Amino acid sequence: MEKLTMKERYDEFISRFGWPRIIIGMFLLFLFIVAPFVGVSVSTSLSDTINRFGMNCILVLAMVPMIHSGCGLNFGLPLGIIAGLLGATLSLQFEFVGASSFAMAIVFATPFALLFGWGYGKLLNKVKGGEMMIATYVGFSSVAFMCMMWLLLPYSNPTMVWGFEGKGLRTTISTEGYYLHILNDFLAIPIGDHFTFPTGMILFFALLAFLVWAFLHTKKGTAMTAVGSNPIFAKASGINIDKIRILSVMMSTWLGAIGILVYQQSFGFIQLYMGPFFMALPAVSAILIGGASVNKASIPNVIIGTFLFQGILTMTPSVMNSAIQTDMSEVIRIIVSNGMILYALTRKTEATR
Amino acid sequence: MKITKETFIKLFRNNLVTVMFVIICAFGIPLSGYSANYLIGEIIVRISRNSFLILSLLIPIMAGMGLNFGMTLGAMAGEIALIFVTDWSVVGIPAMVLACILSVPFSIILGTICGRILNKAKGREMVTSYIIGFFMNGVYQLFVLYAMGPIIPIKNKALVLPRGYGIRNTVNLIGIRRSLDDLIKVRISGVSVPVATFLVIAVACVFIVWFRKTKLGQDMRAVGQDLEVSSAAGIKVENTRVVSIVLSTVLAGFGMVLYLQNMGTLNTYNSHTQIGMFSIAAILVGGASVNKASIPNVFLGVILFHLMFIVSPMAGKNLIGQAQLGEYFRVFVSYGVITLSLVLYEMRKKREANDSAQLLETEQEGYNND
Amino acid sequence: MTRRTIVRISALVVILLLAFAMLRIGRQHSILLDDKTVTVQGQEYKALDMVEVKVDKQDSVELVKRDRDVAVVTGQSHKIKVTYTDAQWNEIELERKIKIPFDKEMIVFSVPAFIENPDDDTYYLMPFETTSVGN
Repeated sequence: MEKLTMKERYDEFISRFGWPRIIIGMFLLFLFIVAPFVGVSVSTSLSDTINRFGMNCILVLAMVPMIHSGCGLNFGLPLGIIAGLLGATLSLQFEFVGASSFAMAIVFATPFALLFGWGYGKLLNKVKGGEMMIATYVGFSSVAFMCMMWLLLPYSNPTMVWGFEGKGLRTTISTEGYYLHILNDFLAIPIGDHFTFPTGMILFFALLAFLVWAFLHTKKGTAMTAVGSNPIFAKASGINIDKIRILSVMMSTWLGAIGILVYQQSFGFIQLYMGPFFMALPAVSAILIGGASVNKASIPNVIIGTFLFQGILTMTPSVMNSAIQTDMSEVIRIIVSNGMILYALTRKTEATR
Repeated sequence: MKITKETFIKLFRNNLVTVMFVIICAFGIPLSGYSANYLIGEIIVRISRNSFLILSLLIPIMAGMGLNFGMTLGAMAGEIALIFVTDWSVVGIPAMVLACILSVPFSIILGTICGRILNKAKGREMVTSYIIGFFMNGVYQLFVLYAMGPIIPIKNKALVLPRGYGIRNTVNLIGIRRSLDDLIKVRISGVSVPVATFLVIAVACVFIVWFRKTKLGQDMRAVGQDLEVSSAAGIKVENTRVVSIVLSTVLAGFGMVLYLQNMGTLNTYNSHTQIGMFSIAAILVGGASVNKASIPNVFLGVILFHLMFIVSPMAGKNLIGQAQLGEYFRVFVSYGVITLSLVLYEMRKKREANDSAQLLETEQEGYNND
Repeated sequence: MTRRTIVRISALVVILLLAFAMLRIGRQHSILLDDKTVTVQGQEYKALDMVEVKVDKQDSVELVKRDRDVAVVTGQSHKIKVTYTDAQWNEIELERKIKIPFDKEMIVFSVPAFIENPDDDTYYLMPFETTSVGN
C-alpha cells in the first residue's frame, strides 16, 4: 500500500525530466498559447514545427549510437554530413531524377559514410577520454578540407557548377527537379489550409528510429550499451571494445549522411562549403534537451528533444516579432542550445565516465 | 649512435606540427612571390597585433586546464570596454589605458563564471570552455544588441543602430587607431616597427615569467601536475583554477584592446569569434601542446602561422589560379593543426600512461625477485 | 583591517584615480569656432570681417563673417590665439587659456564675444544647441 504522495511523485517527475527540460517545455507551451493572441496562426506554426522536426530528427538520431558506445556527443557530425553531400552531388552529377535520385544519393553516400566513419572511429579509439574536443575539430577540418575539394572535383552538371567558369560547385544547389520534397509529399495529409502532415518524412524517420532501436536490442547493440556504460565490465566479458566503438561511429556517421539528405529534400537546397560547419551544435543540444546525457540516450530523447528544440526555433521568431516587434530569437537560440550543452557537460553524475 | 637517432625521432615527433609548418611555409613563400621586405613588414604587424592575445593562453595551460577556448570571453570584455570608451569620446593612449582598466571588471566576472563552470567539468575543460565561448557569445549579443541603448545609455548616435538601440555591426575606432603602434615608430630599412607595442608585449612576457615564480604560480603548476597531490598539500585547487582562468581572461581583454587598436575597426559581432581559434592554432604551431607551453612557442607560433596565413591565398592563386582555394586552405590548416595537436597530445598521454604502468610493473617484478 | 586589505584598497583607489585621469586627459571635445554676430547677456557683438584663430598647435584657421569651423581637441585646457585687425588697421593678437567643461562634447567659441571680453569665458563659451544648426 505504498502509495506515492503528490510531493514524491512531483519530485520524481522533476528529477526524471530535469529542470531545464521542464522550463523549455513550459516556454514552448507558453509560446503556443500566446501565439493566437498576437496574431500568429497556430496551425501554420505547428505545421512548420513538424516539418522542421522531420528535417532535423535523423541528424539528432545520429547522436545515439556514439553516445551509447561511450564516445560522447558526436560533435563530428559534419563528417557524416559531408558523406551525405558527396552522395547528393554524385546523384545529381549522374542526373538521376525523382525518387531514384534520392535513393541513389543514399546509395552513393553509404560507402563514403562507412569509410569516413571507420577512419573517424579508428581515430577516436586512439584518443579515448578526449573524444568530444577532437570530434569537434575533426568535423571542422573535414568541412574546411571539403571546401577545397568542392572547388577542385571535376563535377560538370550545369545545375551544380558555377555558370561562368563551368567548374567548381556552387555554394547552394537546388534540389528542384531531383528529390525536392520527395519524402515530404509522399502520402502527405493536408489538414485544413495551413497544416500539412509530411507523412513520408516522418515514416522514414520512424523506420530508421525503429532500426536503431531494434539494433540496440540485438546482441551487438547490448554490447554497445555495455561498452558505453561500463567499459571494464564489457572488457571482462570479452567484448572487443575498439571494434564496437568503431561500429557505433560508423552508424552515427551514416545516419548523419542520411540525415542531411532528408534535410535537403525538405529544405530544397544542398548547402556546400561552410554549410555543414555549425550543424553539429543544434543536433547535440536537441538530443540533450530531449533528456539525453553525455553517456545515455534513447529514441524518445531524440523525438522529444527535436520537437522541443525545433518548436522553440520556429515559434520564438514569429511570436516575438508579433508581440514586441523585436527579433531576439537568434540570441535565445544561442543561449538555449549552448546552455543545454553546458548543463550536460557539467553534471556531476556524468563527469565520472 | 642509437640513442641520438631515438632522441631525434622523439624530437621530430614532439614537434611534428612545427616541422610541418616550416615545410608549408618553405613551399608557400616562393609560390606567393611576395618580397622579403613585404613579408617581414607584415609579420611584424601580426606579431604586434596578436602575440599579447596568445600570451593569455599560457596561464591556464600552466594550471593544467588545457587550451583556454574561453579566452573569447576576455575578447568580449575588451570589446565592451572599447565601445564605452568610444561612446565617451576618449581618444589616444588615455583611451587605451582606460579601456584596459574598464575591461578588467568584465573579465573578472566572465572569467569567474567560466572558471566555476570548468571546475564542474574536470577532465573535459577544453570542450566545455569551447561551448562557454559560444554560450557567452549569446549573452554578449543580448548585452550589446538589446541592453545597450535602453538600459545602458549610449550617447553617441554613430554607434547605435538606426532602430534606436543596440550597437552597429562595425564601430569605427578612429580615436585609438594605431595610437600605441605610432607612439614610438622606428623604420628599419623600409619596415616600420611599432616599438611601444613591443614594449607592452615585453612587459607581459616579464609578467608571466615573474608570475611563474610567485607562490600562486607555483601552486598553479602543482595543480597542473596533479590535482589530488596538490589538494593534499593544502592548495585550494578549485580556487587556484578559477584564478588562472580569470587571469587569462583579463590578459585576453588587454590583448583584444591591443589587437583592435591595430585594426582600427571593431566588428561588434564577429571580432571575437575567431580570436580563440586563431590564437590557439598559433600557439600550437609554435610547438606548444595541451599541457606545455612557453613564451618562445608564442612567438614562433605567431610567425609561422601568420606567414602561412599571408602567403596561402597568393600561393593558391599562382598555383591553381584561384585565390579562394588558398583561403580555404588556410582555414583547413588552422583547424587541421588544432586537430592534429590534440590527437598527438592524447596519444602521447596514453603512451606515457602505458610507459609508466610498464615501468611500475618492471619495478615491482624486480622488487619481487629480490 | 589587515595590511593586505589596506594595500588592496589603496591599489584599487589608485587604479580608479588613474582611470578617472585617463578619462579627463583623453576626452575629446569639438570646439566650434564661430564668427557670427551674437547677443550675449543683453549685449550684441558684431561679427568680424576676417579673423584668424589658432587652437593649441593646430594649423590656424581663417574665418570670414558668419563662418564656422571646428577644432577637435583632447583634454579640457586649451590655448586659443585670435588674430584680427581692428578698425584702425592694427593687428591685434589675443591669447587666452580656455577650459572646456568636461561634460560638454561640443562647445561654441564665439570669436566676437571673445574679443570684447577675453577674460570672462561666460561670454564667449556657450553650449552647442542642435537647434542653431541651419541658421
